[in-house]
Amino acid sequence: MNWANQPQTLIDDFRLLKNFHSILRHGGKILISIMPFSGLNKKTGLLDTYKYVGTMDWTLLDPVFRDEAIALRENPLRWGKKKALRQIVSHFLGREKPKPLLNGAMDEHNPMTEEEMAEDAQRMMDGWAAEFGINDFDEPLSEVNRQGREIRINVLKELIDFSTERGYEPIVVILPVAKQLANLFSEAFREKYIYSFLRSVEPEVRTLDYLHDETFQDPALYFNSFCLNKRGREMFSTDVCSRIVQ
Amino acid sequence: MTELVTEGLKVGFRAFDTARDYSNEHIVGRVLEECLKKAGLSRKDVFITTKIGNSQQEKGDIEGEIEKSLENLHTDYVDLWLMHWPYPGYFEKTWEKMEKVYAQGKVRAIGVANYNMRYFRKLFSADIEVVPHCLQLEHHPMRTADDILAFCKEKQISIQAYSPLCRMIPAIRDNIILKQISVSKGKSIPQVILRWHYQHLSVPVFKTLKPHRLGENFNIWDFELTEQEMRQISSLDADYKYHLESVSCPGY
Repeated sequence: MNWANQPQTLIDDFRLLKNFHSILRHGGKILISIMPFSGLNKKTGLLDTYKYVGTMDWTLLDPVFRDEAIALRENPLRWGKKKALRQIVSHFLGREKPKPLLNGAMDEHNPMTEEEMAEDAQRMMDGWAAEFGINDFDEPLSEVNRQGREIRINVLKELIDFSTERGYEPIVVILPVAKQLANLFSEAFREKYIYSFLRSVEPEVRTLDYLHDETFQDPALYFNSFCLNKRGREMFSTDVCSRIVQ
Repeated sequence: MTELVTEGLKVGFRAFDTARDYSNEHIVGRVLEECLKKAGLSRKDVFITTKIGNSQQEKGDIEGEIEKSLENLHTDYVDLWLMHWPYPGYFEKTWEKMEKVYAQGKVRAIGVANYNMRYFRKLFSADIEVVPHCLQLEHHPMRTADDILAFCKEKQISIQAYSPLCRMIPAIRDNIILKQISVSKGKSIPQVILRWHYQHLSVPVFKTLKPHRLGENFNIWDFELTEQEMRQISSLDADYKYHLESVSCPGY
């Protein structure tokens, strides 16, 4: 599935698969990347839909946001007229500030110190807690998240059936995170947010679990506590490729 | 288009392929009428194929859609009407309705396009009354689709090949086997491939924007490929598709 773009929901993973799977030959492998919160309720919106306009077939776009997203793509100034006008004026006055082309994702090293990584890991956890409406990771799932999980169990099941029916092999890949973040994922947390979710999905498929793999917890392979840097991505991709052909 | 069709008719072409989703049915109809008249030919001298697209399948008025196609094409029948894609959720029902249109005589034959074995199995398990007369699929030396062709042979479904030259991508254009056969026969690589199609009973449906290519593509009757050459060409199979089905038909 898509590791080259910004994070996306399982539902969008499935939509992309429906649109582009024919590039695979019979027996092709479909990697389904899973993170701790892949099974929870994630609200999507206009921005998520907009991201796929022009890439994904329009019939697959979220029908709730489809028309507005297409209209925005055709007329991007509608995103923010004031900001756009300010930028046009700045451009003609020669005051435009170019956006840096590179970010940490391209780095071959980790720009963060151990301390910064720990802070970043905590920030990630706090961010997810807010995003998914979780007060305490040890508490049972909220009703909203429980319902969201039910939907995602079905989506994952459909995605797996879709793949196998077409002669592909779906493989679940539980992605690695840096040790600072992995340390915040207790065994109970992993069980509740990842493993029990995957166990609910029939049929069971081959799973590559990198969450416990200490090789890929090395902070030198990341540019923050969550995202692999260029060196990490190369190592990870090589490892996944060698394992899926076994 | 008028220039191409005029040249094609002069060379001997008699089959024309279009589709509702190409958005040119009405142009094909107008140009064909004009060119046939100019060439002293009539409607019955040509074979017209058109296709019903996904959005029309979704709307469901299949009988109404053939009327629109007939109007667009300035004719009262089409020789072959194809379901353009096995559109998930719709194709079985569409076929049932196409069978009814076929029974009315507005189309001389009905068929499907872009079906693989999976979709054939589904269609045949839907208790169909008419076996498709034709399958149009991407078929060329890099996609021999042996399983599909064997199935069609068994069911007496004729084969039309689109992108029969695989768009002459470098892997075809520079292929050593094709070059050797081409030199030994004194023919171009496209001619060799078109002959390969002809000899295994696949009807190539090709397009060109260059009138002189029409003559070249038609000139394949004065040589024959040996069984070994046929096998050599088929050995280029890599299950390669120039057109990705799921991009044209999401959920394929």
